[in-house]
Amino acid sequence: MSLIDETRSVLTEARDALAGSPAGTEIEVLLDRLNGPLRVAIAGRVKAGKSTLLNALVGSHLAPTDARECTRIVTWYRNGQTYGATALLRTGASESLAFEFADDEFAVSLGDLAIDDIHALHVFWPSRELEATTLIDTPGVGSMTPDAAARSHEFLGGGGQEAEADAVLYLMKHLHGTDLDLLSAFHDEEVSHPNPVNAIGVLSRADEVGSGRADAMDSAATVAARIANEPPVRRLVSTVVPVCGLLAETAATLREREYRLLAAVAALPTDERRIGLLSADRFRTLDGVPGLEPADRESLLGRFAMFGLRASIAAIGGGAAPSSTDLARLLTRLSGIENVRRLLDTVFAERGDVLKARSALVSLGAALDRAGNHPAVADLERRLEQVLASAHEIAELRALGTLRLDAVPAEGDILAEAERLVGGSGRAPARRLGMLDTSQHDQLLAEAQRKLGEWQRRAEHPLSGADLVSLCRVVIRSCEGMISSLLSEPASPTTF
Amino acid sequence: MTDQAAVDAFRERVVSLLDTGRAACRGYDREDLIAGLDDVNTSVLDPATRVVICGEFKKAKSSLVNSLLKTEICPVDDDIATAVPTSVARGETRFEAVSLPSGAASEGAAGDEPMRRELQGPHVRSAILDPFSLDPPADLIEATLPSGLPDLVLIDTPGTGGLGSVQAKATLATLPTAQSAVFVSDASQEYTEAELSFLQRCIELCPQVICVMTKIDLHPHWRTILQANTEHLASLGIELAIMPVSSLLFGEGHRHKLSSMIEESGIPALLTRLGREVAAVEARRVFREALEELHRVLQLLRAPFDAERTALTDPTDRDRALAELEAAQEHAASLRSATARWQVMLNDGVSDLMSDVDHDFRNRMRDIGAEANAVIDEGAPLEIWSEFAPWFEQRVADEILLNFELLSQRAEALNAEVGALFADEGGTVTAELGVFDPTLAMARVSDLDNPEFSTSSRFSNTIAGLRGGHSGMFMFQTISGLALGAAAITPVGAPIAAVTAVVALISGRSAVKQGAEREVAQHRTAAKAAIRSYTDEVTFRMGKELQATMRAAQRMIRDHYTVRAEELHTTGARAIEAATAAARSADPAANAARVADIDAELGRIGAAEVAIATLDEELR
Repeated sequence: MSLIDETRSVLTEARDALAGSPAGTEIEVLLDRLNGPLRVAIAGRVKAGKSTLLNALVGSHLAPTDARECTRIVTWYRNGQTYGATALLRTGASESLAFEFADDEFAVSLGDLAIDDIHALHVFWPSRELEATTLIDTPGVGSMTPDAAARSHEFLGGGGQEAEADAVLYLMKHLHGTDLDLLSAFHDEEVSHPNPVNAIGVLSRADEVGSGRADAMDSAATVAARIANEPPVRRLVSTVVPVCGLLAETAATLREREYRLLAAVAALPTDERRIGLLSADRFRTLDGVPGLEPADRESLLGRFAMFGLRASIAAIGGGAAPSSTDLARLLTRLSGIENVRRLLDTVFAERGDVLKARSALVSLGAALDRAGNHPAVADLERRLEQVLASAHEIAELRALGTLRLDAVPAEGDILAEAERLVGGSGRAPARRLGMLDTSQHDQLLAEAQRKLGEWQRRAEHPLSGADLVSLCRVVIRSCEGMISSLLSEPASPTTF
Repeated sequence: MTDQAAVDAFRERVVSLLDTGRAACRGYDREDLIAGLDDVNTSVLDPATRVVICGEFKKAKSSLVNSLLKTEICPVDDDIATAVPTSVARGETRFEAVSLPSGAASEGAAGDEPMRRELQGPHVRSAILDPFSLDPPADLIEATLPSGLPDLVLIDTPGTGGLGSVQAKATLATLPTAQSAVFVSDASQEYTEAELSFLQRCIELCPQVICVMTKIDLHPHWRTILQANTEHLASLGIELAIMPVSSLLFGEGHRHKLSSMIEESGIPALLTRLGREVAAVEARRVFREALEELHRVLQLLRAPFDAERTALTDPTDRDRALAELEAAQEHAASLRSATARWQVMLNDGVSDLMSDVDHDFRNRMRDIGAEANAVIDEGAPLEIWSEFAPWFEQRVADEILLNFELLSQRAEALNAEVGALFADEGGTVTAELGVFDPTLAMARVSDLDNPEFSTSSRFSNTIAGLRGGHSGMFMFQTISGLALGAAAITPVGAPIAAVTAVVALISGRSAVKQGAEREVAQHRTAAKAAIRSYTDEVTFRMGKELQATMRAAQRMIRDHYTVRAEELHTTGARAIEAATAAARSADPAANAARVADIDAELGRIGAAEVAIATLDEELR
């Protein structure tokens, strides 16, 4: 029985045993959550570009954005049969909200509700992107509106509550001290140290890192790689990728008229074009482009920013984007959004069940503590301990976290191998073994057996310290798991 | 007097008047009065008004400094940020790295001079980006450039808000020694909470603050952001206009020779403002000070002539005048003596000041210690240490700054009291008191030691590795140790066998959890010991530093008034001498000739005084 099934069964048992008590209701919610999509929160400092990234991922202008601070309420974007918006009130009640969808923009009206009365907004939207993942937009930290920041902190588990999200995309501009505070808050009590298994860092507004120059995204990639290796960050996120969310969103919703206007600018003489693209104000007053009305200029600036304008016009002028479809594709690639999707698909989606099970088990432990002296509690706690003790997946997650703390004294390449073997780069055997995805089944099996032997010897070596030995044990079990799955399914080398 | 040419023209007139004054001192054989004139002459020629460029990191501060100086002296990079404060004054091209004496090296030798080394070519860039590229590490880079701004010293600082807050501390420590601060934010977003609280500290610590918003070329909505920031400032009751600038437009404007673009960049407006409101204001203050000193010297030169003239022209009043002179001379003599009332007041005042400042300092340290212990008691030290250590060091540094502010306020008040008693203004002493720079003392405070949470020596390699990796990030090696603190303690709990720990922490009942509680208690004890030894170390070092500073202040005030008393005494002696000689003379013709001579001298002094009055009038 897999971990998620086992978790489901212990939750069902607990629900039935505690039915009618407040703890029973809590567990009912946990069960629903376990069966629902993975919940990914998008968090970060104020104005880091969280809503923009969310829009880019969904491919529609769902979350409102503005030059000034904008998101004030935690908002869930969920897959739905139809469009809809609901406010979850602090009193526990919920209320349907009116909404409008015009000009590709989605606008929810709060009616006569005050922001302070609302616990969270839920927006329903039929979308393939939201099917497997619920995205949660949060107000920025470090805001001049302290209430909004507090709501984020509370939501991410800062106030001693359990986190409502299973995983987090953490957006940062250049790494700031408060970034680390917030990220630490998200990591729950279960693992007493922050754990990079459920967090990905995103260097957002990446075009601005290099001041919107032509090579800005390359520069951002260097910065992201450097930040990802800072020890405090390594402990908190698995990796950091640069993204220009605005560009990705614009690419997903590019209009034909925009392409025509950009092409007209690209047709200007070189010097005029260059000076017109030096600054936003220069673009506003650029002469010689028929049909480029002031409103168009504002809209282009808002949707592309200087970097997007320069990149698009250079691409059109250089012949790299002969049509709006080409331009959209080019901008999507340039924006780096594909990296975030890929990570969501691999790191989070593959690990999704384990992450969800883990969140559910942690919450169950807390719920049982609160249930106090109900007669069923002692039995249920024993069951919970059993599940946890036998859950190798959780041990792997924990080992990953430990490795990121640089806490195990051993050589770097050994640790890098351990990180891979316990699933740090993906859970498929080929990924774990560091082999090609196209590797033959026999080769995988042989390599897994060789690694098993190596790590067994390492575990038994008299000079291996206690920390290394406990890491070895986890790695050995991972190898054994791989071997048994390869043996039981000789045809397809899939995840186990 | 609003542009540089006018300031320079005025400066020339002041200098030539000071030259006349010095020539007069020599001519009348009063060389003892020259030193004071030399001092003011130096500051008139080079007021060296310090302007600190501060703000969060990656806000284009260095680009701004480069634009203001029209050179590429400060390295600009997408990733790596300025790590060492860099000051740029006007002069021949020259770079020097300054290292403050470190805590460990100067054990028992608190008065060590900072170490200076000249830097060449590529070493300048690496020294600014990484203090540890030099050994001992650089705490400050001092540069002079021909394109430096007239009368201004620009100081580019490491940005605040990065990992650890050492940079903020370093920047705050430079503010009390600066006449002006330029607070830099960018157009990508409105002021954050951290930025606004930093700005408020700037306003408290620095007489004049200019807010600048950079990168207006890149952000289309910069006007909205500017409006939002103006509203934020207004809501805090701060009345400052924010100046929008773009270094990119400035550079491109120069390249294409487009004056409209240069204007649009906002840099010329900022330069004008620095010149008019910062340099000119400071120059005015320095000029006025010089004129006051010159006026005082002229008074002293005039007194003997007045006495002699009275003796020569008004024989009936001669005896009364002589008696008055004798009385004045007695007073001057008593001012010179060690039992003079001002001396007594100074000694009493200094001991009061010492005990008050010392009490205030110890009080602050005790309160911080208690506060820190309370924090440690609330949480698990292992988990909070990485946030706790920088917070704690920041708090200690803040308290030291506040204590220093008290010290300088009290010393200035004492100086004013003694001065009043001396019936003298004594302006120059007050100005010199500000020279004490708390950063120098802070540099001598050693690290907040990492608590001995672990006894396992196996971690030592890991720690050494981290130290290397982190080295570039911190400005004051002596106050850093923060990341080290986090690294040294976090590994301890991690290696506990994975599964059991998870179970233990969830179930809350197992033996492992009890073990964990014991461990937390141990960690608390260790953390408190570390806090204790840090505050002890700070108290010891800073206590010594405070004592030395107060003694220096006392010496400065005493020397200043002793010199004044000497000058008065000499003047009195000359006056009596001249008057007595005149009284003995009986030849009316010679007397008449002498009176004519004296009138000529007095005329010259009077002309100089008129010139002073004219200049003073123009300054108003």
